[in-house]
Amino acid sequence: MISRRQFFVRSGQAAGAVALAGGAGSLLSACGGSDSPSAASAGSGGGKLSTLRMQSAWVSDAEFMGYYIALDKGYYEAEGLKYTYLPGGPDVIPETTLLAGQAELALTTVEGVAKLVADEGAKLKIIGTQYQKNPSGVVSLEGNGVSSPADLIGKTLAIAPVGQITFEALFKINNLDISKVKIVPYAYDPTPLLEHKIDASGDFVTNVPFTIEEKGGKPTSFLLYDYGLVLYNDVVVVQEDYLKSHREELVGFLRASRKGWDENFKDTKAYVPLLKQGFGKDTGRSAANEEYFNNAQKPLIEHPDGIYSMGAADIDKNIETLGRFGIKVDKSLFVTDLLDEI
Amino acid sequence: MLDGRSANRVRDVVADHLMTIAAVLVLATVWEVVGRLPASDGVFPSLSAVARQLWTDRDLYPPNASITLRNAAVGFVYGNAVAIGLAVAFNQVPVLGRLTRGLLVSLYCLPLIVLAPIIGVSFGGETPKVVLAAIAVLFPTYVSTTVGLRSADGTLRDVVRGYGGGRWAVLRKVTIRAALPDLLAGLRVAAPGAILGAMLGEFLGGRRGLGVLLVATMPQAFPERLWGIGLAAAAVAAASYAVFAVIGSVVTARQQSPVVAVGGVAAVERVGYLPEPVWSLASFGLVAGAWIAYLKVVGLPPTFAKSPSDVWDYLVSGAAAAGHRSSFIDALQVTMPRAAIGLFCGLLLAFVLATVLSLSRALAAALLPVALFSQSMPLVALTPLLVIVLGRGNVTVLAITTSVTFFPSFVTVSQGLRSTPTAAIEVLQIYDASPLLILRKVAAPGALPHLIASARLAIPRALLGVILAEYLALGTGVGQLILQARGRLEFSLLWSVAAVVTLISVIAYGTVGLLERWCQRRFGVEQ
Repeated sequence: MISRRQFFVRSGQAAGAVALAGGAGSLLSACGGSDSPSAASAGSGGGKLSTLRMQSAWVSDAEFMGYYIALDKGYYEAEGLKYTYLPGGPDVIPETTLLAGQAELALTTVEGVAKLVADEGAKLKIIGTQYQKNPSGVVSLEGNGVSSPADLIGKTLAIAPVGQITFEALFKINNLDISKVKIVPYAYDPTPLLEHKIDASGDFVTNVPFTIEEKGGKPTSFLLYDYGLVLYNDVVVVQEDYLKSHREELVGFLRASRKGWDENFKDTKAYVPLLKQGFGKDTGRSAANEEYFNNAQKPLIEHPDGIYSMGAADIDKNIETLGRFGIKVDKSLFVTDLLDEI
Repeated sequence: MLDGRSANRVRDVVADHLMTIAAVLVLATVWEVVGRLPASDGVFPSLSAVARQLWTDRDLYPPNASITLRNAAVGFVYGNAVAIGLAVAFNQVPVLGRLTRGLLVSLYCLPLIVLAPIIGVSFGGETPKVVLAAIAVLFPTYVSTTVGLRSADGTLRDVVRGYGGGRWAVLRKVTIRAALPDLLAGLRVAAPGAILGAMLGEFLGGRRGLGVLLVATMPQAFPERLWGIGLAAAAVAAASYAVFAVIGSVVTARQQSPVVAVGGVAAVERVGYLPEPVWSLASFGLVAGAWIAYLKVVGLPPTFAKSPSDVWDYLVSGAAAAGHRSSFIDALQVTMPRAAIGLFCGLLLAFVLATVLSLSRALAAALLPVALFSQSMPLVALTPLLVIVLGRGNVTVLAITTSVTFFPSFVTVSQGLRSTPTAAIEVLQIYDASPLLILRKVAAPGALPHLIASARLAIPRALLGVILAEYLALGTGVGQLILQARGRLEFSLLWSVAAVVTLISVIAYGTVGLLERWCQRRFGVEQ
């Protein structure tokens, strides 16, 4: 597949600036994204492309559709960027990849970034947010009687390490005693829920309910967002120094990625084959699962002012929620003027 | 099997293979039957269902398995090259070996769930996976090579010296040849470790690989595929085990019977005239120095890469240190008894099985595939399923801990039983003693030092096994501390957990070493 893509890109090069203008997109769309350096560095008629590596938060699935589309359609190249998508996983802490200099950009949780800035003095800035509403929620089965945080009292709830801070905050904000909930580790596997070994799990409401339905269960879920946990997720984070020295590239990244997401949401099924033939080729996830995910995340990502926007009122609410975690940050963590330049 | 006469060799080999095949068939039948029980529904699918899924997924495995195998193989080569190089160098210059032993033991005792994210951000691309595979093989190979190098016949050494051969001639002509069987036995055990190391590395992200497939499969409540991935990983590990077993049997057929002891490195070798506490202090300093040097060389920032002084501050001198210490003590009070019980069960099982199976070579050959299989299954993915069957309690902890400590001990004790001096057995045979009596009088006491030697390697594994179970299933003890540190990005806590767990393991390792030396003197078994 990579060699096919290289072939197309090289012929695109020979044909002039077609690839640059994004006109080669339709040619490329059948071939999926590519992490081949030669493919990514080809193109640009003018100067050298700037390297931009983005550490993602999870393995390749519909959560990151916008980037695959932008990469495939040549939107990054058109902005003069040599963009590399680094898939994540359960042992990846994207903030540390960024701080260690293994990536220029990272997608991660707003509470993680804020914690490192407040407690460790990390020099990080958030330049946009993929999710306006955090997809994190509580997933359960109909009949388990879990439809709000209060229903969790006396129940067994499985949460992954990354959800620890948010769930502590959830109970605090809702004036509930977390010690009355039996909390056990969660490995993103809904089997214990289906087997009634746990009553609920903390997970993205955009993904696991599909599996539960497929297995004949009746999923229920609620967003933490709707119970006072007003938080962004998959925020775009950079180091302060990089922001100072590479502002244009970052604006270019946001512009290209927004285009990718806009394209994705025109039809949430259209680009699933691209994912299945590209980054998600060998993950064994079904196309139907990805379609469900992509459809479910649409209202959580879209914003009237454009994808990645961070409205002043929303920023204030995020800061207030973080304050309830005991994480004190101010507005300067959120840099909104790059978005204005898109 | 207690005799080593080559006349029976051919017959034994045939019997081994027949029994191995029979054992695999029995295992497959049990799996099929248990998988079809209503209680297994949705958790433990029948073998035929797993096989059907493997066939459906046939396009999924080559791209994923090939990248895992590649990273595991590269890590295996690098890790073993370093291990063998160090073992040879330290054999020539024992002072160096004594000085760096603490460092190597620490590396072996470091909890991988804490280490993996650090390795992950230290290198780009596929390198973290290779490094984790290399670390997984480093210590076991170092130990088995060291044992092998020491097993060289003193008389042969004297002959080479007598004809004017120097230190290097002895090494080349005698020591390395003598070490080969032990080295190959070590590589055999190391191979599955490399595969699991590479898969753990893939939890750090990656586009493909068996670990990536595993992570993507877990949210799908898809036990057929989950067990299929486990089976594929086990098959790859078993194949690499078999390759070294064949090489090993070819090599040993040309040589005298080997004294293989994977865990049998002498605990307290006398080097120079320095007292033991001085060495311990030097080792301690070297570990701290290596820690600081690693952070400097790789260039990890202090926002998350904590130094020994940060850990000291967190646990000892800082304003909140008392509170931190008490949460550690609480956690350790939960974790340590569990580790001790798990260690005991694992060792007992290993000793009993190895002893019983020493009476029948065929039975031993039959059990090996089962034991190997249990070692190659990725616990991270199967723990959620294990929890459904066994619950979120001490039974699960015990199952995981026993499983991670059993295999290396079993291999070591089995080899110990096999290395019983032939002369001692023949004396008893002349008096028409039964195999059971031979076992009781000669073989079992002879294997005791091997059991204690294997306990040393098993202690860190037991502790890590308990922590893994707590981290993945229970959410208590030291595992909970890691969950908290990872979840709340409390990096000082994370590094402190690594330091404390490693320190405890190293101290236990050293203590068992002393016990081992006493045992060697008591039972008169030469190293």
